Amino acid sequence: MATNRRPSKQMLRLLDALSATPREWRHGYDIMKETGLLSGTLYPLLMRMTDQGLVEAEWREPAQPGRPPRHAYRLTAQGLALARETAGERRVSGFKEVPV
Amino acid sequence: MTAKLAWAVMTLAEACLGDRRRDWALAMQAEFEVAIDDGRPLGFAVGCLTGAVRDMPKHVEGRFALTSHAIALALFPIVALLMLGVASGFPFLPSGHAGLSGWLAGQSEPMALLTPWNRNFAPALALLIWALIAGHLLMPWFVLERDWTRVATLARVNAAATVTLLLFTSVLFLDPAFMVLPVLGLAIELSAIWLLYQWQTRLFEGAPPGALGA
Repeated sequence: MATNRRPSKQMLRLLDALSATPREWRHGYDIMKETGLLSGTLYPLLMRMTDQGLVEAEWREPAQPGRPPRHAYRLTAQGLALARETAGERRVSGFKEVPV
Repeated sequence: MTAKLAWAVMTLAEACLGDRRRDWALAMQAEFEVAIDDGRPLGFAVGCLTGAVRDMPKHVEGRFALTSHAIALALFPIVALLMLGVASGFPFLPSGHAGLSGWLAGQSEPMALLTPWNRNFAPALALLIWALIAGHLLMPWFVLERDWTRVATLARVNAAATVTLLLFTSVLFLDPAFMVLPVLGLAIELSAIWLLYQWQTRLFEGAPPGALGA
């Protein structure tokens, strides 16, 4: 269930990062490093976007043995559509363009 | 030290996320290990805690947890007021003509409330009032643990102690005004706990055995 509210600057930044490689699953910490968002901003955003059906999450086996499985994220079709819709806004804000 | 603090903060964040966000808590925990490798565990953990706390009012389970903590904290002033009452002489000495402010300033001239014929009751009264204070002091912990059996037992003990104190006060012809504070404190405590219990019963209705709060 997506909202009609205008996406926040942080959400635009996240959309920008996730839409750069839309088919790739990304880990939370890597997204933090790439977007510069702090965990206190990123996780509530990911939770909200997942609730709204914009982002999908999946458990992935860890690369290192003995580590717990990690959550990975990518945009859903709905999230990708939103990323395309907000491409103009992100360009104005200085973000990269979304590959379509 | 920083690592231990970060672990503690992370545990708190997981607890704040509750059952509804269990998956997210595990996801944060997995990334926390990456943050440790990266040398930034505390910043990551504090961020997770901030996010978890901000998420709490958005769902009923979180609102229930926040209300439980608010009620538990609100019970402490009752204990503080009772202790202040004891410190000012209750139930043995009135605060004197200068009142409580005078007593605090050391200007009051307290007179003995107990007379020679009822002075033997002093130890029993002292024990009762301190038992009541201890009872009120334990209550917030049991409420936060959602240990309703203990809460119910303690509520009965507190009520019995207050009623006994009230009876002593009447039988010994002490000023009944002294009982306003303990009775009011007990009434507030029991009402708040009853409302919280009713809310939890509705909230976890149909929850499987062993689920949090069920």
